Amino acid sequence: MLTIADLRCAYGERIVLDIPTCTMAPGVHGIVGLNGAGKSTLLNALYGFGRNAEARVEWNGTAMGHTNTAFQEAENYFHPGITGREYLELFMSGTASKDVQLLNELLEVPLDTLITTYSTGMKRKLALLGALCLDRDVLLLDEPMNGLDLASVRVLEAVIERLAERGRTVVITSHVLGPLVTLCDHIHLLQHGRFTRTFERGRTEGLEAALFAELDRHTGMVMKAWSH
Amino acid sequence: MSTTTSRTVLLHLRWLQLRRAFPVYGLVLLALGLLGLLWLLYRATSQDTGLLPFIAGGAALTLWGFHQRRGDHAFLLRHVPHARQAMAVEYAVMLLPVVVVMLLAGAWKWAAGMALSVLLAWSPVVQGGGVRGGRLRALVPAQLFEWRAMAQHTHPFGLLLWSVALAFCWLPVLPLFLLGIIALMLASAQEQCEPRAMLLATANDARALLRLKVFGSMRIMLIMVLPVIIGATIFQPDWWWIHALFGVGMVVLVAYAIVLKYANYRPNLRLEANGANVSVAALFAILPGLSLVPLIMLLTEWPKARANLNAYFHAHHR
Repeated sequence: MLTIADLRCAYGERIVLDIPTCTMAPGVHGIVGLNGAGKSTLLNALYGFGRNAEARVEWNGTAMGHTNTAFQEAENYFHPGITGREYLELFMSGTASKDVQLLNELLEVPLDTLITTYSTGMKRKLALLGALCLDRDVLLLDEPMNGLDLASVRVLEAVIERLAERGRTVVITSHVLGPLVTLCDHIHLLQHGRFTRTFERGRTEGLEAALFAELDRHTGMVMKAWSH
Repeated sequence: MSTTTSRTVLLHLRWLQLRRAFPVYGLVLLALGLLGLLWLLYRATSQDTGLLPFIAGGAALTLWGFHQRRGDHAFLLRHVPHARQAMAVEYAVMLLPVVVVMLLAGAWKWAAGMALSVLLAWSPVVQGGGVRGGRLRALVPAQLFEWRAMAQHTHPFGLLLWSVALAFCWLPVLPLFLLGIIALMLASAQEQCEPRAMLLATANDARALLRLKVFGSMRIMLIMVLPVIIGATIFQPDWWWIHALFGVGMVVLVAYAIVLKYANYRPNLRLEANGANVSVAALFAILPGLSLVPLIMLLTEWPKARANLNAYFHAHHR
């Protein structure tokens, strides 16, 4: 069980994330919010970066950090001059390594060439493989579908479902609702750094309306002013 | 583009780059520096003709390295008419000062040999997406990925330098000089910071990471340095202490570069300013009486590196 208590993140004086309490059971959790809602900040905080001193972020009673959590960041950078396989060697652990080699038969990342020659999509897939190699209890994926082709998105969805079956907790952020609705057991709506609602699988009516309500209201006002 | 222009197009390009990189006084200073260097070369070759093979070989090797590292090689061949001739003209201008010095010193044969180096423009370039030094890289532990990246950027030039150092270890100074170049190349490979994911995957805490990186690199450095130093000491037994201090100095220099990187670590950043500190350490490392200074610099930076890395490994409150 992932437990969050008294979590607050701020950039200077501006508080961008404020979660008094939240629990996430094993399974797939989607974090949905508009740009600037605090999605990436939340994942960073879960991973151990930018938390306030009083915050309690735990996985089954143990503080969450890089030793029990894998994180695929939204922006992927790699050390220049190394190959995909050399990158993955850093993350290899036990049986997960074999799984990753199997997975790569589907993702088709050219592991024996230099990462600098990869396309954006290949880099995303490599970063995902690295996160999977670590075989952690919690997997944080920040906008994992960005830059992936349709086939890779299907593979990613299958991978996430398999991880959930194995009892892992997967937290995904995305601004594309479609895949999240089918994939996630719970979707948490993040607005202005706070969880405002949680939608369960199969009961996501009203998610889109809730997500865009404020935006639609603001857009309507601007359009009205513009037409005058 | 006319044929005449296309053959000098690279010279025009270099001139534009120089104009953009330096103000006028900078160009004047550069020219004066170049003239000073040529004068020094002329003085050296006039007094000791035994230096001619080293100067000619060094210039030819530098040119070969430059040719091999050309990022624009494929582009030039595809888009520039008479690309190889344009490169040859560029190389001729680069070599011209050294050729002139040799002519002034009366070394006609070496000058002619140097002039032939422009033919390097027609030699193939091993680059692109290809992985360099695959077998060497496989010998390096995954956690020391900087070494693998360095092999990508310097192979086979680095290996050639090391082979020359070993083959000519019977000469008094050359092997140490070449080892120094190799150590500086290795130190400069430590300027690039890895992304956060790679840092955290390398070890579980700052202490383990520093030990793994520093001692792992020192082990590889020893494997590289020892054969040359032992060889040089066999031929110059009286200099054993200079060789020993120099060898230790080079190993410590690379270790210092690693610790300095982590003392200033920021994910994905290239710490170019570290080069200045490493150069200072290198200067001390080659002076026998002061070769302990890099070790002191290393020990000073170690706590800073640990403190900086702790912020990433236990970053709950940042």
